[in-house]
Amino acid sequence: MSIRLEDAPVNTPCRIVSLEGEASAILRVQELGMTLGTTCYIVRKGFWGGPMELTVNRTHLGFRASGNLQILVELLHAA
Amino acid sequence: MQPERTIAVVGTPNTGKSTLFNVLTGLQQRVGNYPGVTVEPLLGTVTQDGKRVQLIDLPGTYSLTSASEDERLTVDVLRGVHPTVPQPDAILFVMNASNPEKCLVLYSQLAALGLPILLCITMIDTVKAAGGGFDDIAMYHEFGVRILPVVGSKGLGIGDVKSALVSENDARIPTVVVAPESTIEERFTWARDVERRFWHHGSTDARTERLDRILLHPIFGTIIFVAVMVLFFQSIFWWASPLMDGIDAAMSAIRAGVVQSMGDTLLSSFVSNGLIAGVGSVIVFLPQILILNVFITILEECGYLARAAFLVDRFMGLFGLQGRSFIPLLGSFACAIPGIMSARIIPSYRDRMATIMATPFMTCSARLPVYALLISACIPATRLWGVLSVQGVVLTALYIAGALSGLLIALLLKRTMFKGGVVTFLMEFPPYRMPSWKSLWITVYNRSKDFLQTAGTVIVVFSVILWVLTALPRADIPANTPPLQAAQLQMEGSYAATVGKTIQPMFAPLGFDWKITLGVLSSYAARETFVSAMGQIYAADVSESDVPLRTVLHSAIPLATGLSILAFYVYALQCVSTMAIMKRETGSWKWPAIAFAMTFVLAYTASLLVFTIAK
Repeated sequence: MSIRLEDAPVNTPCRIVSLEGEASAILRVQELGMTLGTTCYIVRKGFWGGPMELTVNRTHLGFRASGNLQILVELLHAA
Repeated sequence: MQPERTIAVVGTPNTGKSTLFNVLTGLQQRVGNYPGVTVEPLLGTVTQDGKRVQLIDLPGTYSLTSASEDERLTVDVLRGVHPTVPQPDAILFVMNASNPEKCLVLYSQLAALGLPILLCITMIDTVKAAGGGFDDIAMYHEFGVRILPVVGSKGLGIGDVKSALVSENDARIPTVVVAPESTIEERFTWARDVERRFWHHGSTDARTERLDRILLHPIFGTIIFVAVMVLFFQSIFWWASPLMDGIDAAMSAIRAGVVQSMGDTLLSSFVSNGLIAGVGSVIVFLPQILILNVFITILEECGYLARAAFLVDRFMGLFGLQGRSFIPLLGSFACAIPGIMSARIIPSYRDRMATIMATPFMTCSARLPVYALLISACIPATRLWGVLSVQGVVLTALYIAGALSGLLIALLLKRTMFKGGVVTFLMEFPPYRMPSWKSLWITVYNRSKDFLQTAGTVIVVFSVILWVLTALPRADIPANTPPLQAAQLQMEGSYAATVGKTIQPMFAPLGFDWKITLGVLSSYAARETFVSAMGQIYAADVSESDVPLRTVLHSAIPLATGLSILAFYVYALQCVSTMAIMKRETGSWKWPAIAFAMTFVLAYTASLLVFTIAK
């Protein structure tokens, strides 16, 4: 079952299954390695709706989704 | 001797590309540790074995499908469609050994351009220290290009890179590793396969992980961020004051020396009150410029600025902006010019424009001497509740009023002219590293030089014009008139008085007399001119810390008028250089014109309100 990335629990590997939204926003996340099928996990969530810290392979990212982009993921297993 | 060939230095952000460029060329340029810091193509020359090549350092990009303005520059140059920068003869591709995946994706696109490539792999010391490594010979066979491992910051492998750059045969047209029409997923699949086959990563970067656990923590990270910002702003006052006082005293001594040696002549007045007063009013800001730039550069280079943008993203979202907007806005507290230029790192056009329009409201270092002079002249040096300095509270309030107004203007623009929701925030965190002192020196030197050249030229020219207006026509003053009275008589009969008195009715509702009107008008070239203009107009010393000028202004400017002038300066866009850079970055005079009109209306209204309430 796919859920929004921001709803995924912390430190749980997730596989990216869908990228929806503006083409430029999708391209930008893809350029940083968040392509379909890639595994990522949330290191920590932001305070007060702020961005989350994300790890995609060896890349550390600050990420906050908004109306122009939605990332759906599948949870793989508990860390 | 003309350079033989031009080679572009290309790579993703945070690969150590700019450090390598510095080491190769010896040229002075800025090295940043957050994505998009290199916003202009810099040129340098490499000489080796009697041969030369020209290097172009292009802004870092993740792909040839550009998103932000600075990345588009790289793509246009590489594709040979940039209007001013010619297509290079070859590419020096720089990739980060500790995180090769994204670099390889970009490489797969570059390989299809048909340009000869040299592949330089940086940060090999980091990989080796972590117990990792890579197979450069296997890569050479697969890619068909020469592989050059280096440690840019330590100069290791640089000789080989130089020899390869000047050699006509070392850069080769690479094997096309991925079909040109491949999707980005296919490119990542290839890159991950290459990384799996040729790379052995050691342990993870434990230092960065440990630091991020604290510095990105929702509570501790925020507290540390606030502490860093408090230190940032306090340093402007604490550390700059003694240096500014020293420069001030030196300028006063030089002026006194000029008057003493040349006598009370028209030429002496020109040199002392025109040239030296103008130059002095610029140089006195230098300590603040230095301190601000040292601070900002350290924050950039150690990797904290990207984290700061992350921490303030939610707050910036309240004003329709994103965390990336924080970087240009923070820079604008030093000077709006680099602030506006660094707005190029914001991929969203609407966010970028709203940020650019908000930057002039941040209290740049040029406003500080104006505030300092007026506060010391008009605000009593008493304490609030026996602890807080009233003058300090007023100064802090002016900073907050400017920043808050800028953010509210951004919000207004995002709701009207640049309508659009808050866009996705996405920023790569570079690993923490110690700032390079050489890079710090280069940055601070370049920014200080720019400040003195740009602002200095304008201020000196306007100071000389103002001197002509105040010194001519020469009044017929009796021989025994005391010097201050003589200066006042001269001023009353000067062209400056005529100009000031003609325009003054427009500013009368704000409590400005003709002298203040003239000072305010003169500062439309550059804000800091107000200080030297007041010095010239009131025939007293120029510096804001000079007691006679403060004393003269204290008796000449009532409290209500002083507050009214301060309110005017919080909002008014009084900087020719800022407007010129706005035009360049937005591509039209429309936006600086709108910014000028908007800030004037705000300044006039705020000043009128403050004067009406305070009187």
